[in-house]
Amino acid sequence: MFDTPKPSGIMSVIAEVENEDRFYLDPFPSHPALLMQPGATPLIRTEQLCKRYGSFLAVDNLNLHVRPGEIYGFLGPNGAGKSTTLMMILGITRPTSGRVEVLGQPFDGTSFALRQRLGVVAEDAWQYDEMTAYEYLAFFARLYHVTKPGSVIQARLERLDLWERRHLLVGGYSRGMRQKLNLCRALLHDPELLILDEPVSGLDPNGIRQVRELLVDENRRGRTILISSHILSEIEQTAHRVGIIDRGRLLAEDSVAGLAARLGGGQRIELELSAPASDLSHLLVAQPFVQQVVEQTPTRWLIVCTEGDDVRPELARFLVGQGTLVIGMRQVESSLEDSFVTITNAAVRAWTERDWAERDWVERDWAGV
Amino acid sequence: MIGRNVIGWNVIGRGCRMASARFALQLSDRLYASWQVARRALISTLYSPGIYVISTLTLLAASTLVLNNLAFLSENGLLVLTRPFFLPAFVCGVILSLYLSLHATLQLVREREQGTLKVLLFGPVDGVSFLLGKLWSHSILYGLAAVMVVLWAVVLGQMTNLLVQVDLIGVMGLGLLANGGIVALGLFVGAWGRTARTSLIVLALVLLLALIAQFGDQALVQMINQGVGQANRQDPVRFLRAALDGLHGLILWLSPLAQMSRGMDALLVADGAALLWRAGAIIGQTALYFFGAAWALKRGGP
Repeated sequence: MFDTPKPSGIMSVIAEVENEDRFYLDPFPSHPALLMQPGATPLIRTEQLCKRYGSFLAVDNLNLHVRPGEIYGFLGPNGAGKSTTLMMILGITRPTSGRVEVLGQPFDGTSFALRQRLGVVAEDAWQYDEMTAYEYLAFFARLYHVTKPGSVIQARLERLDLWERRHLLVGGYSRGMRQKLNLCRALLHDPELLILDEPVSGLDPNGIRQVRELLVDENRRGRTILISSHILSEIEQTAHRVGIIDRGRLLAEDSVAGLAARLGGGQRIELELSAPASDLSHLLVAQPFVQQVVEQTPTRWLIVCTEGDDVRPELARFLVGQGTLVIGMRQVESSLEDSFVTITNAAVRAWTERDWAERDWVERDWAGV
Repeated sequence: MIGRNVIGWNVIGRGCRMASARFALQLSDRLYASWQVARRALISTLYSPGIYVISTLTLLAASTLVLNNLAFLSENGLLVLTRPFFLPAFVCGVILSLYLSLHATLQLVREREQGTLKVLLFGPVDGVSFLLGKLWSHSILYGLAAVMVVLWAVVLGQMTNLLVQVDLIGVMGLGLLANGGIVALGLFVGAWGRTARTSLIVLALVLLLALIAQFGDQALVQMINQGVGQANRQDPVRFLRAALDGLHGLILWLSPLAQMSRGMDALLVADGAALLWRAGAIIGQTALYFFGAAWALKRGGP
């Protein structure tokens, strides 16, 4: 009855994912682990994974694939279903329906052998406060049957600058130090797969850099890493692929560059203006080469232009013609944050419109009756 | 036809062998994990003052009872008193079990609240091995305390010339079983409870109810025998006693301490069969609470 317009831009990405017609780009073709294992069995695979709490659908038919040897960034706004998904992957929460495979085997959390091959860092730094850092790691080393635990613990603590404080009680550690200690614990037994929930939260810039370098090193040694994080700049710098989830649905899954490329959105130009006229943004949007104007501050604007030739000369000419003093102009790359915001906002818009359309249809239907 | 049957049996046999090997592996993993959990809990408890404070108080209470026995001997001019350490040892067992049960509940709920349980469950520990670890650690603590009580009885026996009989070890052994049951009950309450306060209040009420039902009807029998409420048949004390009697009958099947009390009666009359029956009942109660706790933990999540 109603013609459905062919989706374009971000809507095409969402539609594509919803139709399970995803395609993947290899973002780092030089990455040895990825090159070695084309089409290898994913280390994490979820199929039609659902979790329902009463009438609330926390995770909705989620199909996630984490390939061997990659760093996979799992992103989503608060309450998107990230933690629930991770808990289901780890066998802590039972899915309402669907299937989870970890390290190529169906996993419901009961296999001790599989758990031995996972390293997990949870968002909150949960530790035994009455133990020293060394005792804490020694406890987990025993649990995981680590051979030569002393040297392994020393190596891990030294790598994250905690060796000197190994005899301090964990209760006295700062949040950042606890987070580092969590990472040491997760890496003690040399796991094949690392699952990290907000691994850099609470860390200072030096700590963030240390953890980033550690993760990249571990990945170079062939360890597969799934990171769930809000710190998009970190994911941007470390992840080979990212998956964006909102309202329990996987909205997009690709490399950072791949996402930006598929989103389109054209060139982004940042302008610094001196006392721009009040109607300037309306005039700019009316230009054929301008798609969107974002006033970041009263004098700093982001202009999203059409794809194709460099529009900066044309833009400069227009601004000068309007009598606007341009102090600065620079082309900016589309960041993961831009992609994240665009995708999640578009999804919310799409769902809202769909909800309204459905409500409208129901109302019409009732009116007909 | 025969060949096909042989192949079929071979397949079934191999399947059974694989299943039993997997079960054995899982069991050994689980036992290892539970021992590590127990070890940590044990060290943590031994480094805190609570267990020492309660042990001292327990021995003080038991010593008071022994002093009462000595006073009874001198007042009545008796030369011999059978089993003078029987009741003090029982009291020690009950107090220690109640404390360890509360301690186990608190440990479980705290680990849950602080999220350390979740971190364990991410690794090679599951709900059953975690609970088993707690049960082990609290049984070992009780065992240590029981050895201490026996030593105390031996020393006091030497000092006062009171007879220390071998069946004191039987009382403490029965107490060890009952302690397992009470700790499992504590873990059961802790696994269902969401906060430390709620769990502790619920457990304290349950234990109080069990103790009231166990000792309350005996007190009421004494009151009735002493003449209270003899005036008419409608006396509320009689109804209260009847109600408590019923509750006692029910709690006998639910409370390991009630079974322990009956087990001690069997010890007194040297009834081996009854003693075994009571020990079996305590083990059954322990299993019931333990698996109830494991189920609650799995259902509610960490």
